[in-house]
Amino acid sequence: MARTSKRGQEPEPQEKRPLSAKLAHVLDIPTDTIGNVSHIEIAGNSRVLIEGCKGILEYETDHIRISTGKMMVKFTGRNLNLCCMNCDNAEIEGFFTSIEFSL
Amino acid sequence: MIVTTLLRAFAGTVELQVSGGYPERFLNLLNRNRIGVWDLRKEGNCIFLRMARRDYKKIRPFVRKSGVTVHVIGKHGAPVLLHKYRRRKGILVGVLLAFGVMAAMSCFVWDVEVVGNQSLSSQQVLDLFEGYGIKPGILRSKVDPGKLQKQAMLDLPEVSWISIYLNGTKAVIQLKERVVPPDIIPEDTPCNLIASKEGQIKRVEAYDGQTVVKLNQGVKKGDLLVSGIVTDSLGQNMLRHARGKVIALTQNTYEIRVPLEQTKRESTGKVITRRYLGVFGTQLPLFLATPLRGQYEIEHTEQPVTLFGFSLPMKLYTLTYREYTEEQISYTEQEAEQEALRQLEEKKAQELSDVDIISEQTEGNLENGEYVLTVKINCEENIAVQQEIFTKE
Repeated sequence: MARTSKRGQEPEPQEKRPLSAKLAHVLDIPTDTIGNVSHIEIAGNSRVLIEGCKGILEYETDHIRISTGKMMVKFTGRNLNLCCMNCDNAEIEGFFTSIEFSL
Repeated sequence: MIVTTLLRAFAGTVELQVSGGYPERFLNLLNRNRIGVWDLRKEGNCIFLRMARRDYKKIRPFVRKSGVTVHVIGKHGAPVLLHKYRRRKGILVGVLLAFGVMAAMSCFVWDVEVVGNQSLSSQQVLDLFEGYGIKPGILRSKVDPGKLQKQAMLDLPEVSWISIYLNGTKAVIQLKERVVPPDIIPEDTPCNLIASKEGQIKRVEAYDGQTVVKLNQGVKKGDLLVSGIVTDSLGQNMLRHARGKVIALTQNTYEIRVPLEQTKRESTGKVITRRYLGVFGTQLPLFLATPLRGQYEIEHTEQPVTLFGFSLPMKLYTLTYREYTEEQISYTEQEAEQEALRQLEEKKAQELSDVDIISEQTEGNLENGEYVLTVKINCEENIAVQQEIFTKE
């Protein structure tokens, strides 16, 4: 709680880049290959593939909320459907209107 | 994607309707326990999904935990079909029989093909191999390539290389024909030039050897023209390879007979085609037999029956009957003469194409209803042919 109040006092806190991202930058390799980072692939606005999906928080036809561990992703649109879900992967089809990330 | 679909169909799938409780929690529990689901769709408060048949047995605890109600809507895939048709033994027997027949049939040679022959006809080679027992219908294991190749090399002198191999149910005979070298006497072998036919010597062009004939001398067939034994100024004999041209005046006589009364076949245009299917040496007619009236010329063709490019052990024989009428035509003497002259021209073009024709005497007369044209052609031609002098015993 103390940490939150301290951060709240600062006008614009500097976002700290994770170590894996820095390492990937130095080694010139894709960020999602090291560390616990999810990989989201979007084809147009009709198909999304999420690698590193940790769970489904909400499943409706107009929005689907997915947890990727560190953050949540909310896909909003029409006729949204999960076409496939196994292990850590999920695939969503439909007509997307927005994608929202939240911690 | 197709592979995945096929694998799923093979293992069997279950379609479920999930309603009530916390369906999201149910999905997460499945996910965490490595149970894959696909084709999810939300309709109202229900979620429809598919999962593998073997996974369906594991979901009971997750259903209870998440408080959902699960209904099986449908079962698909191979296990369902097998269960459905478990009492229909005929299908199983049919499938097994089909595989059995296929396995049995693939033990035989169904077609023999000849590749690489040019002057040798395929039928000749096929007939020879049929003599060895290689014909459609024999067991594949009976084909012994090594032995057959050796045997065929001995029996086919015009072949320089032959191989037989099995390509599926087809036996392929691949061969290469020998190029027979022309019968030339080597340059260093002593030889004479002798006459190939009788004639009167007009010109001698001897490049090597000693000329023994004089101009305007008459020679018979086989007479020595240019000798390969040359005597030099010291009286010593040398053996040479006689070469040269000996141009002689020769006479060729031809007799052409044209009968004045001839029967000519006139086609009426009526064609009847009859087909037979040849299976294992028997011919099954593919038509309704009706007796034929009149006179027919019969043309016989056969072709292998193929299915999707594979030849089957059957042959289709086609007999084409062309009706004709016989007509008696009689030539006048002039017409017969013209016909005889036409035949003469053909003969000249065939036999006297590379000689100089000096003069021609034709004489035509009628003999027993035939027009006989006698032609005497005087021409100048090279009559020299080489004959080896055998010096060794």
